[in-house]
Amino acid sequence: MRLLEHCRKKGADQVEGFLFSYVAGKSVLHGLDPRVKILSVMCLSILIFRSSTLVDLLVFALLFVGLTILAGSGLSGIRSVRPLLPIFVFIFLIHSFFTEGAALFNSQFSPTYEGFLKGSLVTVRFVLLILYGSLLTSTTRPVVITAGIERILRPLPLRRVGVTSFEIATMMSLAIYFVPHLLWYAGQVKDSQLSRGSKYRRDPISGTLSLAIPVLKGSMRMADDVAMAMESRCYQGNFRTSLFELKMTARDVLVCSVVLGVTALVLYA
Amino acid sequence: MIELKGVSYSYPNGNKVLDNIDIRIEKGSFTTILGDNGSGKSTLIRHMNGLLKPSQGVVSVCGMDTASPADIWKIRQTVGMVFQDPHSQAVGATVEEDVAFGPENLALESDEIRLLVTNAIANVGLECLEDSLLMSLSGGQLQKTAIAGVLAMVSEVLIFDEVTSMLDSDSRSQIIDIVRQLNKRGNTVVYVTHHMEEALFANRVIVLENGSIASDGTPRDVFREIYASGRKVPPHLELAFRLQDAGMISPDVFPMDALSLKEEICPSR
Repeated sequence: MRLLEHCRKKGADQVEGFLFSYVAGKSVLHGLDPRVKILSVMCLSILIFRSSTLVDLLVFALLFVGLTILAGSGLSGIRSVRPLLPIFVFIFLIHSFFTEGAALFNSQFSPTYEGFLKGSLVTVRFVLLILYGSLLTSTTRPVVITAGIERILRPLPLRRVGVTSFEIATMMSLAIYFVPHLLWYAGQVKDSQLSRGSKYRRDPISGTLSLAIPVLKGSMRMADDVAMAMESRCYQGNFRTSLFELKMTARDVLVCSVVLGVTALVLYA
Repeated sequence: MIELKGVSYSYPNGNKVLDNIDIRIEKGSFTTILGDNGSGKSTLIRHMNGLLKPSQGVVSVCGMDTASPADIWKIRQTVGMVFQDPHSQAVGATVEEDVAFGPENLALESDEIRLLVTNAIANVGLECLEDSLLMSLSGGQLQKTAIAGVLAMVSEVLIFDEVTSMLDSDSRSQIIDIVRQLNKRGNTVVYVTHHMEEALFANRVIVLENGSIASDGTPRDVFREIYASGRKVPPHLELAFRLQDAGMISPDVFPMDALSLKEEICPSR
């Protein structure tokens, strides 16, 4: 019974985690090849950073709204912006106060009009980047994104620098599980130190130092165990196949051509 | 199937962990390796799929020498291993991805991988969790995922290294049931534990002490020997042996649990 409840809660149509928030669906965006989506996000990022007015960025914002409606992934993108709000506020304030120009208020330390505009521009750019990134992760399963990145990297001569695209993909898969697991582990070590009288709250600096050593030691041991488990399951790193075989359809080629064409047109026209 | 001849192993610091071990594991058998912490159990089984190479002696799997680099991947496919800590053997982000890790390393086609993964997940009863993030699973579910990962590689021999030691009693009995089912279906099982109750289900028990074999035989003979030497055996077995010594029940009786002993003493109608 508990298992069934767990299934309903966590089930097959939603993968939520520290790094990804996939929402299952059958939209056109869900059906696109991950390579096309990754490439599109890269092109959009370039175009967003090339935009110099708020009106240009408004076009990208409207495009995002349209794509979100098309994807049917709801507000998951907007939720992904929330944890980064303090950073956006910081960026906005820095630009507002430290850009030279006409002061907005009659005070010694006042934001400037030019700073206000520049801060808004830079902040909206970052927000749009995060939103488009979250649109990618909410319409693509983590493993498919990993497979897409692996296929994009495969033709590159990475072996010359001692790494393969398969190894990079495996590292990404491992990170999706281990980053939250390491955070959980650090929390356990912190709780155990607090329960034995650690003064973590009163002296966070020395508390963090005393936390770092056992967490580092534990993560090294864990890495050793994982390496052994991977080796025992025949991991060699030089070649692997994938459960998710990627196939470009005519629709993928069309979308890819449109995205590349529009990007080239905007950049060089 | 697996043969160890005169195997000794010392760690680089000179600490001798295994001393002149001779074991032959027959196809389809269920062998339990019992021993206290530090007796060399984990070191012994890590020789069985080539994760460790003996300092002296020979280990062969289906006639292949584990010291031969040419055969090592075939050996690791033949002998699958499930480790103690369910968190430190996860290599994928989701259940499906983790289970697919082994077949992907064997460079199988995606359709074949899909079939193996689906069957393996069904064999451990995790069908409704196949898309769930590993981080959201309980210890028992993670351990089942690890077992499915080995089953997906179609390993003939399954080695379980204290797989229940970090689990609650419900998960523990579920895992033991799965192991027994797998043996009934034809898999050769080597089960390492320090819980004596878990050794009763095997058809052979090997007791390790300080890196040497202290006893080797059927569970009945081995537990009789342990009882005769004055050491602890499971309470229902101790009672059975006492009753046998007093001539109150047949010397052939070897109850698996307290209920079967009760049935021997006063059968229900």
